[in-house]
Amino acid sequence: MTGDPKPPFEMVGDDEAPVCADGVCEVPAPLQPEAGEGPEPG
Amino acid sequence: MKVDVWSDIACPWCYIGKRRFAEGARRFTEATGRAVEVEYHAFELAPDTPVDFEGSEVDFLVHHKGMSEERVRSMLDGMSATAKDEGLAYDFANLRHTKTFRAHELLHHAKAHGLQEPLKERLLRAYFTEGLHLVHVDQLADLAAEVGLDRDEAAAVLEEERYTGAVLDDMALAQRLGIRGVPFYVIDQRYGVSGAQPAEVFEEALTRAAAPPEQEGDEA
Repeated sequence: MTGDPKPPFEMVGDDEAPVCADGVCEVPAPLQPEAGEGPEPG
Repeated sequence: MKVDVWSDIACPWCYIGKRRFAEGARRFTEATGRAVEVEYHAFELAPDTPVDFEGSEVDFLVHHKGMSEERVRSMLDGMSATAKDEGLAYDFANLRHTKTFRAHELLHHAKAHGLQEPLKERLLRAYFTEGLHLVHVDQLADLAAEVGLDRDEAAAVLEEERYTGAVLDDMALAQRLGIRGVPFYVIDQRYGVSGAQPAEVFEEALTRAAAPPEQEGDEA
């Protein structure tokens, strides 16, 4: 890459936005489906 | 406007983030007339995945990460519902959890031929929707050919590990930049956006990066 980005960056947006890290992708609580609202299994 | 994106083709939030970023970039371009150029960088989300791993996402998270099956299924259901809102059909029941290093090598090859974006999109769909196992050279070469790369050359690039160094460089740079989760966006080398943020956040970040720098004494 030409001109590698260099920190610090000015961060924009919500610090708690969903990410995947160390193989795990947590879903923020408000996005968790209520019981019976999730997709059909299989 | 240049945007550097660290992500993985095995990262469900990256696929969702890709849709949201695309919408934010579309609005930005519509408002300013400025194009947005994206360069993807490698980030192995689960580098501890064995190369010969055979199993689903549930298998991997339960047996390699020690999560309960109930928690994993709840997480994947929530993810699928969010993906659906973005027009994406995740099929975790058929997904083949994969070590993605080789896919990242292929993305570097595609970048060298100006085809990184279509290959990235093709790999994400293959992984999350079609249940393809993206560790095999033949499978990856087939997908490379679909987006316009020479199939034999793509296979040779992977067999010869021609882009191994480039992938390692990407991951080392991510570490130096303090990137621990993906997707992660660096806009114009100055603004960072972490995670699958709403489209308006990407639009705002692009707009701020495009604004002329403030001059000293501008205030008042």
